[in-house]
Amino acid sequence: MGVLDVLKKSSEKNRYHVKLPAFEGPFDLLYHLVNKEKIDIWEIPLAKITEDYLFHLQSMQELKIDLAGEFLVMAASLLYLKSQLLLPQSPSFLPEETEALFFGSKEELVRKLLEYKRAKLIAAHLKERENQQKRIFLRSPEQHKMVIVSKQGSLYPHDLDSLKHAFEKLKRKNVEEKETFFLPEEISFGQKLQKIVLFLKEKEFSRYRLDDFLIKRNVDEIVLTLVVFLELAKRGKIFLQQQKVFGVIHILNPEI
Amino acid sequence: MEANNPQKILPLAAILEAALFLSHEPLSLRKLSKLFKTTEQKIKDSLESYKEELKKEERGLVLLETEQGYQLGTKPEVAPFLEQLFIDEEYLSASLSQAALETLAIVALKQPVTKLEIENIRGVKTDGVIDNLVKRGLIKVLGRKETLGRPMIYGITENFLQYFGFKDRNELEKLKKLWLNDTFFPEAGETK
Repeated sequence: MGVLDVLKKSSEKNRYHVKLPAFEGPFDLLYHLVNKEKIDIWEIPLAKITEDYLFHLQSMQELKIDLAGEFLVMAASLLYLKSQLLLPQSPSFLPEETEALFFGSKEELVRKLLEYKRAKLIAAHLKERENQQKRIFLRSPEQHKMVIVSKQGSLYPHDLDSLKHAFEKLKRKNVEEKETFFLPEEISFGQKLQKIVLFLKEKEFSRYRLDDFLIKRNVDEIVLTLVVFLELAKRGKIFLQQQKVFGVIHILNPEI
Repeated sequence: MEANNPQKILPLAAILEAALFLSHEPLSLRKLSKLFKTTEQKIKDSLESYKEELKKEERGLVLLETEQGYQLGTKPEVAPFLEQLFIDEEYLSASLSQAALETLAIVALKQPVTKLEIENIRGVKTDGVIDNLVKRGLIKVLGRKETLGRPMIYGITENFLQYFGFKDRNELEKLKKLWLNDTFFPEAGETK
């Protein structure tokens, strides 16, 4: 039953349900028509197929299906071809500009249709393979379902208590005023840097605890000292070493 | 240091089975032979007999062979049950659209191929489809064609082979020869 038959029938009943195959493009539609008529693509009757094609386009328009421009280009191409066959061929006749069309000769139409058919048959083959493959399940790469045997602790404190404990520890140290190294207050980054560099140069040791430099009452100075050490580490003047997470940080090998 | 020579205490097959079970990606013969300090042939033999073993009806797994190596999968026959079991999980991905399949068919056949060449065959714009296929990793940009506008040229990926279950590129090449033959079209072959 053609689309128009369905339309006629439906207008009698005043309602209709039509299910049209979705065409991937003009070649898909043309291929469908050729296939339906069971004609060999090489023997394609141009008049008949052009008629079928235009008829189908009309039905689609009546059904208010949004037609892509390509469908119209195909119609134009077919009509052009048909007109070429009707007109007497004169040897002096120069072919017109057919670049905007899908094809300029029947041979080209056949070639294109065959090429499309080839792609469609391969696509069908791929679809079969896809279906088969879809029935084989693999471990999905995103989901690591492996059980980790050797466990490493989190980088962050497990709870608020341990965080509080760490803070208390630092505060207690400050209160105790264990003035291992005395540094004057209210100094700039440059001054601080110089002080620390001088200090490290004077001493014979090559290993210090970072903690010892941070025992100061003044928060600003703790921050400043820390920044200076980080800067020195960045410049490669010192090494900072920590054996384990939350372990003591050591300042190593200060070859300044 | 027994750990360095595990196959001395454990059969190679057992270790290979465990490795395949755990791996999220195909394991290559090269990698396995290096790891177990044995020849690729030995690994291959062991895997082949494992593959045979899995063919038994009471086994639910299948050993897949791809270009990248070996990988375990579930048998197609058990798929309906797995689909019920893992109904909420992401194992069930969407199938490719007809437009995508046609585009892939053309890329597989004609690669390296430009977007324009694909559109010429399909007769429709293909931008969106190509972008999606690149995103899905089924095709990739191979480079640019040295013609006007230097358009990008596309080709298929390893992922393509895996997705459609091709063992390697040779298997695809063999099929391509068949596809390009005129006898691929039954009715066309007669008249030409």
